[in-house]
Amino acid sequence: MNLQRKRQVLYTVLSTVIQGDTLWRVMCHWQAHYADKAQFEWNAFLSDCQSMADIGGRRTQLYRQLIALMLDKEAVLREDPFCAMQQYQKRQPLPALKASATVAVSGDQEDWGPMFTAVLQTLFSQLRSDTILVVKRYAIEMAGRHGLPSTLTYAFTQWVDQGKTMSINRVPLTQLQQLFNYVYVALCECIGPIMADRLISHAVNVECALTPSLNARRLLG
Amino acid sequence: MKCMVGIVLLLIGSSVLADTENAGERLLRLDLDMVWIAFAAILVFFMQAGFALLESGSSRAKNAVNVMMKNYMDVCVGTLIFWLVGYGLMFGVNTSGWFGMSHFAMHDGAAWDYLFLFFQTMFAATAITICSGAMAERTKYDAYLIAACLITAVIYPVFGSWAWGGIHGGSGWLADLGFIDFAGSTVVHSIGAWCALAGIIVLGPRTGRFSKMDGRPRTIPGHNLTVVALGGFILWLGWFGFNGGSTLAASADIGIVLLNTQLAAASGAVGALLFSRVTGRPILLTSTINGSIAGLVGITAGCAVMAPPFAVVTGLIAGVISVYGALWLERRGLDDVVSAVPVHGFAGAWGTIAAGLFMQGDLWNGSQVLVQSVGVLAAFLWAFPMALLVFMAIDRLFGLRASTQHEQQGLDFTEHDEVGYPEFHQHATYHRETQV
Repeated sequence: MNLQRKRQVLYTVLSTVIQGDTLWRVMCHWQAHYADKAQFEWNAFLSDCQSMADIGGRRTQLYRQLIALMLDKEAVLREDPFCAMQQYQKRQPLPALKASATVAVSGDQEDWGPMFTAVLQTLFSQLRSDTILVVKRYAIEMAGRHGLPSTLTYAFTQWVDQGKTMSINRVPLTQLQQLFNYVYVALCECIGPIMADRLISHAVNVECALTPSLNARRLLG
Repeated sequence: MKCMVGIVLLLIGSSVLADTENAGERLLRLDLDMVWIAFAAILVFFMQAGFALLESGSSRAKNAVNVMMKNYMDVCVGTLIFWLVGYGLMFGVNTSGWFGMSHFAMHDGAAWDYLFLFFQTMFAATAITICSGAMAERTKYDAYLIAACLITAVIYPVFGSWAWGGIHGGSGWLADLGFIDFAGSTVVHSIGAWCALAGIIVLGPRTGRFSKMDGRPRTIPGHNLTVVALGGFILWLGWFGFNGGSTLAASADIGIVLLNTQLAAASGAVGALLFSRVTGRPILLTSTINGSIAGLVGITAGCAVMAPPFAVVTGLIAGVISVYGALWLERRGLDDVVSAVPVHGFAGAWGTIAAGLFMQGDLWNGSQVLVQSVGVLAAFLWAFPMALLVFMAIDRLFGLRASTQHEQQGLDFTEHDEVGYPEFHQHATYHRETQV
């Protein structure tokens, strides 16, 4: 299931119980922390929101609804709320800035793995399969040559080859930046530096909008 | 008797008056010469702005500031180093024929000496700034500046002393052979270009410039072609000072020099256009501007010795060379961002030989062409290996090439911590910590 459909499912279900800014705040929280996680982790997401009376009292019911909608390919879903979420975020300049400042201070203590995965996901979704293959091969080769941890390289390989979640929790940001740079270099070689800049920039901007609490630009180095 | 004395006194008086008038005329002429050279030097200085705009516009937006900074600092370090060392090596007393040995850090010369040093400083700055364009977008800033210092201190002035040396005594061996390079097709432009060639060989191409699969070149367009065009116009304007000032006198010769300069620039652009059209290539703005600059470089050696029709031929061929030369370099996997090597190097070599071929009153003089060819070859054999050595040494000691991470983020951010277009930056290529 792609990211957009997951978001539509969540929106369809949550909009029946909460509205307005509360809804957008919850949606943004999901986008920031759960969008790229497996579906069974949505339970944890609902737990995060249990302090809201409208959600806390009917967590089980909402969870069932979410699962049912996700499994039902014919279900009629509400339109993708992504634009509305972005507008909501734009209306919240102060909290967003505070969040990014916190990130800047806390630095490597944050878990950058999900963000790294999300940016690569958006980036690779725009590439041809043969390009992905070349990029992967180059990045893995360079990662090995420059002594990046084999666990990171392995997780990256698994993710590219089999679409598995990249389990790279608590990998230092500098190592992710380095791997990201190898992906950039490979992209430059395959599709040219101008296109590489554009695609990476697009991927980073998308994730910045979706997850304002964690500045995706930091992956750029 | 009284009448005779009167006549003698009258004769003496008129002779003194005539001498006074001649001295006054000479002083006035010297003043005029100095004003003209000062004006020409200012025009040549303005060429730095032209180079900066042309090179910066030809680079990606994320490297625009870095290119500007290199051009700016080229003038600054070039001025200081040339005053300290370069001028003495180039124009000091040259008894050996190989380099000058006086007038280092000149501080007690005549008024004319100061002006001449000022004028020649602008030429030195022009020579080094040619490298910055070719090596743009992947060179470490500090490493580049070290190279610029060494080029201004040794490579440029030593060759200059061979062709132009001996202003303060003695002469260079190339000048003794009868080598003609009026304003520096070879002395300034080719020397700069051969250094640039060495630089781009040591550096290697920008990441992604050539496809890894089949080696085919990939275009990396500049971020602002309007700025490139403005740079071209400014260079053209400055060239009137470059060539016109090289007469070193406000004389009637300026007319033919300026006319030839204008004709060659115009025909250079036409040559580039015709070559592109005949070979079925698109008529690019960058190629057209490079064509006119190649025409200007080409005519620089012979603008004072050629008839105007030959200036047109020189410019036309230089324009063709600039486009063909760029393709030739590309086929060899060499990444010259602004085509500095074909425009300044190849066209400069052609222009120097053309000065021998088309000399007014002595057309097709084989021995002169031979001397010109010796000069062209000597320039290459001196500047290229020396620059190669310099760049390789810098690469080994400090690292010449920026890391791929810096290339990704853009040198504006990584080298200078500022960006050229903060409001309009479309593509996120770097991250800066925000203070809230």
